[in-house]
Amino acid sequence: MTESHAGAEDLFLFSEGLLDDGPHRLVAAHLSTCAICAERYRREAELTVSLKSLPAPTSAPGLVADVTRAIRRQGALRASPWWWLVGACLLVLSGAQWLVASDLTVAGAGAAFVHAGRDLTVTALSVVQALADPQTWLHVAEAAAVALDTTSTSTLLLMGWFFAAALVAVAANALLWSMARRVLAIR
Amino acid sequence: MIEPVTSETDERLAVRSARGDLRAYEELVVRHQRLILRILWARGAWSQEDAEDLAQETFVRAWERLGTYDSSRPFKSWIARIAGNLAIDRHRADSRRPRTTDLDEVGATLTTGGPGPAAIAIENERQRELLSRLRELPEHYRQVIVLRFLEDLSYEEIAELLDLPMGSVKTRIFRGREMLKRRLRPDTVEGEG
Repeated sequence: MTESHAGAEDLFLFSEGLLDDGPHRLVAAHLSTCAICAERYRREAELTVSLKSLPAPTSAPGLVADVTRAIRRQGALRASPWWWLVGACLLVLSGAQWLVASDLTVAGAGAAFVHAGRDLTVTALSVVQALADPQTWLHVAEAAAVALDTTSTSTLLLMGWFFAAALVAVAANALLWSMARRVLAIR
Repeated sequence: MIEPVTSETDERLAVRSARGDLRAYEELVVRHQRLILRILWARGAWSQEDAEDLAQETFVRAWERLGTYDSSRPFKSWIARIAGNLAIDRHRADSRRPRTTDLDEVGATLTTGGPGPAAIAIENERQRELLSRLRELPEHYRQVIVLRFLEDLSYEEIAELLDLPMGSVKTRIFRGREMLKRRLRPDTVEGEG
């Protein structure tokens, strides 16, 4: 505070109650005698009141539900690290069990894996090649026509049941998977 | 407004949330929605709707990043930083396309009040002017002013939230207010008396 008037920072600190006792009393005493500083202080207080009365958002009634919905929708549900650990252990155990059951060594299993991969690749390439060949589709059409001619009603029914069962299995798996995700994520 | 329902600390709830407990996270959203809304609002989310959209995005992003949260630090500061960064990203994206809102839209909520139409009009005009000038302030001044006077946080809370020394908070608020006063028309702060 200067001899004549209170400094701007002093007035601000005074209005915020941030001055120590001594300086606070000094400014208070000065304000009671100086009309100019009293007016500046009044403006300072007015600014605080004006700022506090600004219509800022206070709450959003549906926000919690929206956030929860968005988290579920985005598949951002997080499984506990413990569940990941359990999953990893199960994977390792099932691999070990396979090794023991198939009487293979780790090296043998590796070789078998490579062998299977090579076979799978060759088969996949053959399938792609066959699918790209128009002759294949001609044969398929001919075979279907013959099959429809010769297949008994019971065989057709059996095939129908097979496809229905496959559809039910897929739907059940999807449902179980969805439930498992929820159980793992929200305990 | 939904009230918080447990007495667990934010940090404990955040740890539970990080383990996948969505109920615990809902509690955190309830506790901090007002703060986040105001931070976003102060950073240029011009309407309540904008602020709500960004708040939702903030909480979803925070949920996705809970694995990086250090529970020895205040959760409030952590989520406030996420909100701030998100607001900056949004601001950058918005600045690349023409704005479709203006301050009339912003001040749409300013049209309610008690006294007669003339007094309401004057009051609304003053608030619009103040809002407009507040939003023109540099970010580091605007943020502390909003936290202090709109969110009503103490100086200690602001220092903790922004990870700043108390002295810096006081200085920023003082300088921000001085800048605001210079930019306001004389009659905007004075009041009617």
